[in-house]
Amino acid sequence: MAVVLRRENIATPRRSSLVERNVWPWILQRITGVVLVVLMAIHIIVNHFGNLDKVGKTINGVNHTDLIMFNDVAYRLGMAFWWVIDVALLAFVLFHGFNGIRNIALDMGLTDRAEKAVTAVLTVVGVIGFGFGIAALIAFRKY
Amino acid sequence: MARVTAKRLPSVQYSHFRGRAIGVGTAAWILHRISGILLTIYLMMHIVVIGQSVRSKEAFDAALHFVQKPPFVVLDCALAGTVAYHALNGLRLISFDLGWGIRAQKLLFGISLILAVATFVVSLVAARSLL
Repeated sequence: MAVVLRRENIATPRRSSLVERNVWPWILQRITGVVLVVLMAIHIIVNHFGNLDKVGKTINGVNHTDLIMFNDVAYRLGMAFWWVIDVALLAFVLFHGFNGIRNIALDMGLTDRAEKAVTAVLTVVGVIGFGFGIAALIAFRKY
Repeated sequence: MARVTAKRLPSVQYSHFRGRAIGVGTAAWILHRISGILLTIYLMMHIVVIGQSVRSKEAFDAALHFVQKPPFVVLDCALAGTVAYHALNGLRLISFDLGWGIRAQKLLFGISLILAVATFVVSLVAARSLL
């Protein structure tokens, strides 16, 4: 006699599938990705390419002996717009980066325990990175 | 029948290569993952360098003076190219999720790769005064 095993016959509730419980990370990875394309373009063009012309000049009272100067960053962070851009960039890039690493780990085929451990470690490292990044931004306001 | 579901799922990384030649889609996927890992490693180093501002203004300026040496400038240009590839290929993947352009996937990969290399070259030209 064949035994038909039904879901309702199993005593312990089934854990949601890998796909089911990763719908939000999947959607957020795409949303942060699209936003990051815009934020990274602003960041790289202004903070990296934008400084190339400043070397050797004095702009906004800052003498640019080097490419990137503390006082120049402090001047920029005196504007609310740049705070919004930088904090958003920090939060989005940390989520996107660590969720991406988590996706690679999940694709290796993990046990439930290993998956929880990976998620916990990456979350902790991401939150520490965010705290340190915010502390770095606040430091520019002391001068 | 003790187990209903397998505890460990098969590795996606492994199944991608099993007995097959690497096609354009897989190449794009490998490059996306490698560039993603590199960018996340760079992100942590970037936070540490910029985080020197927490110590002092002098520490920050010293750290940024150090990382404008030519080898770092070349790496920064390569970084811009890596970001460009990851961004363009990411947009390519999102367009596939929305059902757009799947038939042009090889062309779109080619465009992403060419624009990424172009970003690297243009960055080097733009930053030539530091080399």
